[in-house]
Amino acid sequence: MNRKVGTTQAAMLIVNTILPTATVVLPAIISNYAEQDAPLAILLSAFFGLLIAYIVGSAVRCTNGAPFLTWVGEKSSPAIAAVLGLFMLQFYLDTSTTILREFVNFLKDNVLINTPISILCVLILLITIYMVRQGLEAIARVNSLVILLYLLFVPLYIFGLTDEMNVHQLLPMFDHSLAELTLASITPTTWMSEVAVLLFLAPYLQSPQKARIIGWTGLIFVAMLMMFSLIIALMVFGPDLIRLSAYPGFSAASIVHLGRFIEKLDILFISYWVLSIYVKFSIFLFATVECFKQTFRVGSSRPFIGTLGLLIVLECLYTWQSTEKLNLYNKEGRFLVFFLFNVLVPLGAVGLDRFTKAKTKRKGWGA
Amino acid sequence: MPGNPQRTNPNKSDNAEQSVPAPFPLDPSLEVNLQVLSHRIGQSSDIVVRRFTNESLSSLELAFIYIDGLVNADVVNQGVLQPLLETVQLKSEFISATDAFQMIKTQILPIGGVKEGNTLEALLPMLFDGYTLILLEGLQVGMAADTSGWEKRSINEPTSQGVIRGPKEGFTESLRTGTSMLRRRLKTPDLRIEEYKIGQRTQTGVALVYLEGIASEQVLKEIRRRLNAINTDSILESNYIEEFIQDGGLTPFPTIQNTERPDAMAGGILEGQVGIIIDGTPFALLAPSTFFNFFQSSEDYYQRYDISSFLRLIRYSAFFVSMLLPALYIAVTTFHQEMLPTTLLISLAAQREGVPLPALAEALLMELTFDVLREAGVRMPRTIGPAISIVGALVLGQAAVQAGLVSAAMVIVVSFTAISNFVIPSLAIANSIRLIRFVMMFIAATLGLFGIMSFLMVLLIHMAGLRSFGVPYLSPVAPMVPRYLKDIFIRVPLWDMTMRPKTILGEETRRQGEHQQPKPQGEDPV
Repeated sequence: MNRKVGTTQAAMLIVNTILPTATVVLPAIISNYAEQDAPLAILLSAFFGLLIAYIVGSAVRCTNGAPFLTWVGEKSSPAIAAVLGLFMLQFYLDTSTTILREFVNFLKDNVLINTPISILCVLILLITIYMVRQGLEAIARVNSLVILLYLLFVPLYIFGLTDEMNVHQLLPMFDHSLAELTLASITPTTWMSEVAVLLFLAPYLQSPQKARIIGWTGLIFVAMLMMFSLIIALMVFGPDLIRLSAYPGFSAASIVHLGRFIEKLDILFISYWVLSIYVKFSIFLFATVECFKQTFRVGSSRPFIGTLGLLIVLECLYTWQSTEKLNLYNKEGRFLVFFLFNVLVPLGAVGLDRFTKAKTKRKGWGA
Repeated sequence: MPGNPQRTNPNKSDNAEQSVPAPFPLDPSLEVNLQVLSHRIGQSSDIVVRRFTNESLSSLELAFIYIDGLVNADVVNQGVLQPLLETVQLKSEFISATDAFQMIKTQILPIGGVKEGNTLEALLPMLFDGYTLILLEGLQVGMAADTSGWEKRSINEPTSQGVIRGPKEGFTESLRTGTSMLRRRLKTPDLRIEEYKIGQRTQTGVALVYLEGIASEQVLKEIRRRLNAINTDSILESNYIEEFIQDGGLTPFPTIQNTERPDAMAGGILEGQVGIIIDGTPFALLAPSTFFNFFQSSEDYYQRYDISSFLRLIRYSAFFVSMLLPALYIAVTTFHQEMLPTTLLISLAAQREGVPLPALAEALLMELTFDVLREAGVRMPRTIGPAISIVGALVLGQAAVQAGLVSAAMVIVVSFTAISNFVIPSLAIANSIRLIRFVMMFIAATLGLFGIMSFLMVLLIHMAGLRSFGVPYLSPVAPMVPRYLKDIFIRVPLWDMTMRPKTILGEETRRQGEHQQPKPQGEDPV
């Protein structure tokens, strides 16, 4: 079922790889540090994100679309590839788990207050496993349809909040120091670094050589949409209220109204968000399965998807029971882990490629 | 069916359960041949076996076999019996059986379709197709003259796919009538008709119709492969073929269109689709079909593009209403009351005050009642069916509201859902939505809007993974090919549709010339 995904579709995949949880988690964190200068923090993080996309794109160009860990094994040694694979598998399992937990926490807080978390986890996981089994091409197609819906939701969001927006809430601009802005941009940068998922999607890309373009295009869209969401939330609530709201974007959506007959549309926006986070979770589960497949060199990962899913559910239920702990991890711990796996690993891959090429060249001279 | 290469299913002899007899080569003895024939087809009253002995030459003995009702009696009498009886050369004492056979075949019979066969198995299918078999004493070969002519329904207006403007003729149960209707519309030497006989016992004629150079060779190869792989004893309607060859065996979505309109089939063939006409049913098939094909109606092209586009949008809206409205009503009234404006919420609460059932039970009750009425309307005698179903719906709806079993709002929801279902031009996809609607309702009652969105995601991913003979089911929307969207959600003017969509075809081909937008002569382009 896994056929190749085109460049535009892949760029759109990157958008929904980052955006769904970023819109939920980031505004409160960024506003905490940067207040009305939060859009500048997004700009800064987008700049770092583009750098990371350059590194990841270069790594994919080195592998030329070959399975990443297989390539590492060929260039270094199978033992190194296996060890790296185990670490990366742990990383992707953790990342998938946190996505699932953020998804479930959001539903629990906003939509299904009385439904047991375990039921939500299992249901979401089963649907996502079905998505992964349909293949990346099907996920990419659904993703492009979900992104098309922005054409409906973005204008609705803007026009529904026109009366509530106050541009003066964005003032004074440049009121925060570069240190504060950098601090505010650290967490969004970790989200932007999720572009590294391209390492595992590369075998399914029609043009892996265009991985940089795919990453950049995706990140530019993400930055634009994040800015849009954050600026509107700032103009509606102001920097002080945003800090108090757990989900400022959806709080703004709850006051969207068209005349007096269409109002309280937050559930509509939440429904749309549900679609996009399904896509995000499926992309990460796909990457997890792909990582497992490459690490353990199994031909078909189908029998193992359920087992990996079970691990994710168990970790989701028993490791991240506390929302505070998850928020703390997102705020402080995530950067290190993501820097390690999303920046250093692809950087290492580029270095490995240069090193082996140089070695071959030297041998060539010698001969 | 003379003159057409007929392919028989190679698998049909594989099935031991069908106990296909070994081929019987014709015996020189006419008596033996007739005995074996009689043993094989039994003593049915409609089978006519007539022996004709030339008194003056005892060696030339003939027999005619035909099936009464499948042959045209006039053709048998004037085209077979009369010439044979009146030909003087056949009475000559010097004529041998072999010469007589050749003379009958090439000179005497004034019939276009005359075939030969040297086994009973080769001749029997022709007998069942309305041919008259001619067997001669002393020869191990038989002759079959096309005398077919049975009672057929005349060409009528399609019952399930009517249009206000456009051709009013529909396919009939006759395969040959169907192919001739297409020939009349597509007068091009590129039109190809391949015939198959499928079903060991029914030997149903199936015709594959396509335009050479326009239909994708890959798709054709796949359809041929799947048709040849069918191993069944009977094909009684096009759905038999559809279920055997369609992609995604367990999907609720149809991946093959059916139509009883020759103009719709001609349109599909011109777009690169392949038509499949089945003998014995007026419903022909079109493949490959994408999801969006099911929302296109022939009439879209027979009226102005603006009104066609508007109607397309109405159909897509009706699709979502038909699938989601009862589920949304349940979800909103059960879980998300805050979504409703206060006045509407108060009105709904007042209506539901005396209703003892939860929203799901209320909706199920009404939906099932409507489906019962609908089914009863189909089965009832034609004259009273529609009246009973309307009266039943009104009386039951009104009575149910007055009895306090359901709220008036629910009656409105169910009625609007049902009416929306009929807006969709394809009955196949409308029926799929009927089933999906029930699942949606249960999910909405359990998980609210989140459940609806989750199930929508399942449906979306399922559809995104579906293919119809290799063509992605959601194309050209997902994967998105913007220039092929001219005839999907809206229909652009015909002069702007210069290319055929590549999604169905192997290659993109030109349909018509460019720059055909009508303008006054000599108009300044600026």
